[in-house]
Amino acid sequence: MKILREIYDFITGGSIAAPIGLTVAIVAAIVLGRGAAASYVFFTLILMTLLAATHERVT
Amino acid sequence: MNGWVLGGTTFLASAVETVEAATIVLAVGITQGWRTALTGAAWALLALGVIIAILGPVLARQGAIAWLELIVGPFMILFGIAWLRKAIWRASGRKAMHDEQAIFDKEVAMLRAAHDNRVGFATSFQGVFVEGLEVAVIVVTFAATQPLLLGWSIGGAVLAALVVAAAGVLLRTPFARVPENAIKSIVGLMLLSLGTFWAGEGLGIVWWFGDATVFVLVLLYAAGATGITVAQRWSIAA
Repeated sequence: MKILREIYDFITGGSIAAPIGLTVAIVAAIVLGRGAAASYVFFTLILMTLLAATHERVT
Repeated sequence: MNGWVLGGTTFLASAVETVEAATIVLAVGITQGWRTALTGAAWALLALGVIIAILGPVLARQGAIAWLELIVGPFMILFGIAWLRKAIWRASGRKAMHDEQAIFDKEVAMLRAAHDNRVGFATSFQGVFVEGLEVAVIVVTFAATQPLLLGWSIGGAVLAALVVAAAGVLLRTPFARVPENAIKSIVGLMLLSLGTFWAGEGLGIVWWFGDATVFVLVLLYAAGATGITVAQRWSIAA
């Protein structure tokens, strides 16, 4: 379990919001397809993910 | 994609990590001798070199294809957010600035108490390997998406390591004055922007200005990160 936790922390920097936000952004982009809306929504959701990650508890 | 962008990103990422690794190697060298310190560092560099030598060319041979971008892009985004949020926390005062002198003093105290060269070797190896692993992953993922620019990303990383190591040998003191947080912010912005671009391409998104969109993303994310930093400073001051 400890090694899995280390790998998770290595990839995400210990953030919970980052992988969740990223997943939401990817799903939204897939749903919206290749149109211009997909690019704006994808970028905005990643920016929101950064915002959420910076509001987590300091690690 | 421009080689200078990838080479510059790996250069800065490698510079930050090498500064941190050099602090640990320096502590081992002073307390347990340079032979132990440099042997541990050399083995760690060899291990990192093997990772890049095996995975880099394998991924580069695949060519920049959508599914590879879809795997690499999200990794870059997560790395970028991790680097950037730490830099934002430090810039806003939520987290203490990285203090190389304090880390150096702590390592020296631990090593003096150990009286065992194996501890020094392990500390030096682990310090260089752990700090360098992130750079190795960045180089390998760059190879996956930009196979023709593999030399640029490896060159940037190696050059930074050599410059910092040479400075370390000359100065023989921890790098307390390196503007680490500013460099971390730039690397975070670059990783986040490149990751967003590649993940988007992998998903089939047609970006606004082709390859030049990366620079637009850098500016947009920089504006966002600045806004978050200012807001967090205000909330701490209030």
